[in-house]
Amino acid sequence: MHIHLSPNDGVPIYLQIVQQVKYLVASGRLTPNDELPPIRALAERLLVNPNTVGRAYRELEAAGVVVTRRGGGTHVSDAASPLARGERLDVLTKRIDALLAESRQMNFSIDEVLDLIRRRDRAMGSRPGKE
Amino acid sequence: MNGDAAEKIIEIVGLTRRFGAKRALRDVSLTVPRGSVFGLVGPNGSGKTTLIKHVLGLLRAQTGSVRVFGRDPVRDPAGVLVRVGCLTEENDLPGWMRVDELIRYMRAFYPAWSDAYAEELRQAFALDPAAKVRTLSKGQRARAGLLVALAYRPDLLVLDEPSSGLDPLVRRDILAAIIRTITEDGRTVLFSSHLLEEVERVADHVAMIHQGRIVFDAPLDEIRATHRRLTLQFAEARPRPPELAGALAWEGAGREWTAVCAGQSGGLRAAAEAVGGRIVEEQDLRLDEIFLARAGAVPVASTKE
Amino acid sequence: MRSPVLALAWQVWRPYRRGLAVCAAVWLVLAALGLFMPRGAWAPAAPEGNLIIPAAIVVSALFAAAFILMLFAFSAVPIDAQLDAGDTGFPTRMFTLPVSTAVLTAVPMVQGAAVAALGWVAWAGAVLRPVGMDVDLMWPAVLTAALVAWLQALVWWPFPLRFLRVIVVAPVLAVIAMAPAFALALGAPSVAVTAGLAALLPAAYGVALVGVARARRGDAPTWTWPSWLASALAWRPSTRRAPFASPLQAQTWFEWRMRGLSFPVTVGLVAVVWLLIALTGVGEQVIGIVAAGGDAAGVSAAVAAMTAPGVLLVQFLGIVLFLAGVVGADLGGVRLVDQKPSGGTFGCHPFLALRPLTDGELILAKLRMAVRSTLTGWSIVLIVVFLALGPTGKWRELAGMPLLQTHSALEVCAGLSAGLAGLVFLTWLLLVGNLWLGMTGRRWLVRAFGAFAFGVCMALVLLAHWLSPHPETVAALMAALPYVAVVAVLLKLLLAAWLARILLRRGLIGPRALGISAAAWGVVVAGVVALGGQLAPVGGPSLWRLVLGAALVLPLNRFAAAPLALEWNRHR
Repeated sequence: MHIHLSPNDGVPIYLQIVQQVKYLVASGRLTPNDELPPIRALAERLLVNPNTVGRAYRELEAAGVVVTRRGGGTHVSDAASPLARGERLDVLTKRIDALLAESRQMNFSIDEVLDLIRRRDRAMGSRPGKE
Repeated sequence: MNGDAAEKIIEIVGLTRRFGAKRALRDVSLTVPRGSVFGLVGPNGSGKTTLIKHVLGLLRAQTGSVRVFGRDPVRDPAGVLVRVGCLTEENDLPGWMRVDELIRYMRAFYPAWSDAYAEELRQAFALDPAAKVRTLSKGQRARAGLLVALAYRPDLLVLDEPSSGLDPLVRRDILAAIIRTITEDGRTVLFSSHLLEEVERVADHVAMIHQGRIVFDAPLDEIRATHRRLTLQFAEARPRPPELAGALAWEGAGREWTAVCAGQSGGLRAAAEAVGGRIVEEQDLRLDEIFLARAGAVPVASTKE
Repeated sequence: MRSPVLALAWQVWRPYRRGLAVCAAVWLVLAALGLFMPRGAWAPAAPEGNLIIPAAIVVSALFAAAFILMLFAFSAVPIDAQLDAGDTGFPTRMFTLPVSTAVLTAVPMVQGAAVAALGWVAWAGAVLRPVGMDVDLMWPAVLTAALVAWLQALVWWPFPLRFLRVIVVAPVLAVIAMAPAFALALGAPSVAVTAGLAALLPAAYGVALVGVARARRGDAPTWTWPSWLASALAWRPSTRRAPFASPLQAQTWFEWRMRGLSFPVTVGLVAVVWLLIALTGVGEQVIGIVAAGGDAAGVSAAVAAMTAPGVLLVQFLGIVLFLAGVVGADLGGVRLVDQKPSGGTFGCHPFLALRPLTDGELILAKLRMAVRSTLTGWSIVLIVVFLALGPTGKWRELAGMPLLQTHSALEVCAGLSAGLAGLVFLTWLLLVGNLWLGMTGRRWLVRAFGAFAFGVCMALVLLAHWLSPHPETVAALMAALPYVAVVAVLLKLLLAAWLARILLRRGLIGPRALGISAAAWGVVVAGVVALGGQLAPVGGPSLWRLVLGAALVLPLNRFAAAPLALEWNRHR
């Protein structure tokens, strides 16, 4: 699992980890039931405080992206977990708002934007799970 | 983090230190809880090294008290220092010693020394045992110092600007040592640094000293949560920024002024509206931006009192 | 500051302005005293023989001259520059200044030589001449200037090997210092001597110029061991050596590596010189000349009592003890763990301060190191003495000493062994007696103590001179001495008790260790008293006088003060 932290852009480190894990899951590089590295190992690899990693894992768990099993280990959850759907919709809505604001400012029409979205989706490869 | 009262590894209360007429530390109080990575930041000459020297027992408290593991490091240097690992900026190891002699010498002092771990570190750091310390490069000397500070798994690791002047490889080794220390239960790290992005990565508590006084001392998350950069837009152009409680540093011109503010989000919003400004942008801040705003904001008081 | 020469001169003078001011003040005081005393008031009472006062003044002049010498020889050199290092002693930061090497070398050298020469002229003219000593002004001035110039030249020259400089400096300076005396004794006119010495100055400048130029270019060669030799003296990994059994052993090893060899090496060098003198018989010839010349009556009496080899031997042993005192001055140092001091501070080096050892244990390590150092040094002395006296058969002459004839062989052996043990113990005491001073880590204290000690010596010498024509005062003083001694011993014991209380209160030393130390001191005093009682001739000092003497002389408070000094230094 490759995570790249950039300490300079003002985004808190735990949030960067959260976002990148979400991206990895979204793009299929992390499949459901893949195991995430233990907190200490990831902390030593990324050279960040283990508490930060722990917080990221907790956020991911709250968002339903990962699941902590009894007996240890953090695993990617099934994509269709109903608990987190509302939360996921929230995140997506925010991103879409930002995207729409920018596209309006740049004078793209809504059809151009949708067209672009479809093209990028094809380029990203097949989607895991349904839809 | 421990729920119940975490043991205070370092407890400093009301510490003041004068060097002649100059006051290096003024009424400093600090607590380092067990298991934390405590970052100490501050401009040059603010008193960080002086504070760390008090923790190590190199300086005696003129007023107030310093307790490490509950003991006074001046009264009981042997009892305190045997559990402390230390890496300082100058890192003066005797130049005439060979690396293997250094290891053999140091291990006699620490009952908890682990030969296997020392050997593992020596190989990881690629230190030639036959080389004399004075023939090592600066980075290698830092690694040697790190080796003898880590090999006995000290309960408290104290680093005084360990990365200054070192290349990124050695800095990475030092950060890795800090993380590895903290992942083992019950061990604590206190370190001071100018490289704020490193502090931001590994520290969970940060204290800033400026001109001998503690400016803030809180968990890193809290610090980040209470400092924001606000951009205010006003109806008419202003030649000077408005008075805003909690604003540390202003910049801008005309109708838009940007401030680094300290305070809770809701309170800041209300205060901004009170001076007639509209918040158009709100940003999180990095630790070095907070530091710059804080260090610049404190007025330069006379150091002779 | 408009010219580079002035700027350089200012830079060289500035760090030493206080020391120079002190020297100037002392000179002014003594000159003023000389002015207000009637001419010849301090002249020797007897034509020959009573040379104490002029000797005292000469000593003080030499002291001041030595101080100035040291100042300016190291004026362009950081005061901590080590003579035993190979690289140049010239401060390399001055190499980047936009001045030519000729100017860069000339300015400190001219300053040093000028101050040395002027210093002598000022001393001789204002202090020594009014007192009645008719000393030459010219050639000693040029001599001191030449000494300073040559010392600078040799310190600045980059030597390829580490200890080469020490080996070169001593003979060169010694020859320069002694040559005028020999020349004058052989009858050369003082003008010729002055001219000869003056010729040494440009020679020194030439040497210095070449040396500094080489150092500035980075041209200095360094010699290293040839590879076959290096691998022959192969490194054995220390980890295969047995680990230290305790922190104290580790710290003793550290102190030994740092300072342990200074005494044995110094003794060894001097011993080699003495061995040559003894083996070639030069020493005895000199003694013979001196004794026959009727100079200071003591020498011929000494020769009669101890025979010529005996006098040589006693001189050698005296030098060994003197060296012990000299080396002991720095043995307490906690300032350096390496060639360079840490951050320029005078205090305890952080590497030592951070060892998890109590102050008492740090000092104990130094004491143990001093034992090893003493034994090593004395082994060298014994070997050299054996070589000097044994094969050449001189020991037979020594055995013919009148003192030895009156005792049986057994008594002689016992006396010799006791004497040897006493000397070894005395050496150890000299080495560690002043630990406390080096450990305070306060430069002003070290200097003040040095000045105080010097002042006390001078005062005693003056007192002795003033008393010598008044034997009845001397007798009265001698009668009062025992009572003074009793008071002194009581004060000493009181001070010791007070120090012990402080040590216990601060937890620097455990009660058991304190008890053992006090008992050890008592035992040593008793031993010295017993030994003295045995060795002293019949009719000598009574028992309790011995006790008082031993109690006064044997250091107690200096040892007690050492942990306090270290604690004061280690935790500032």
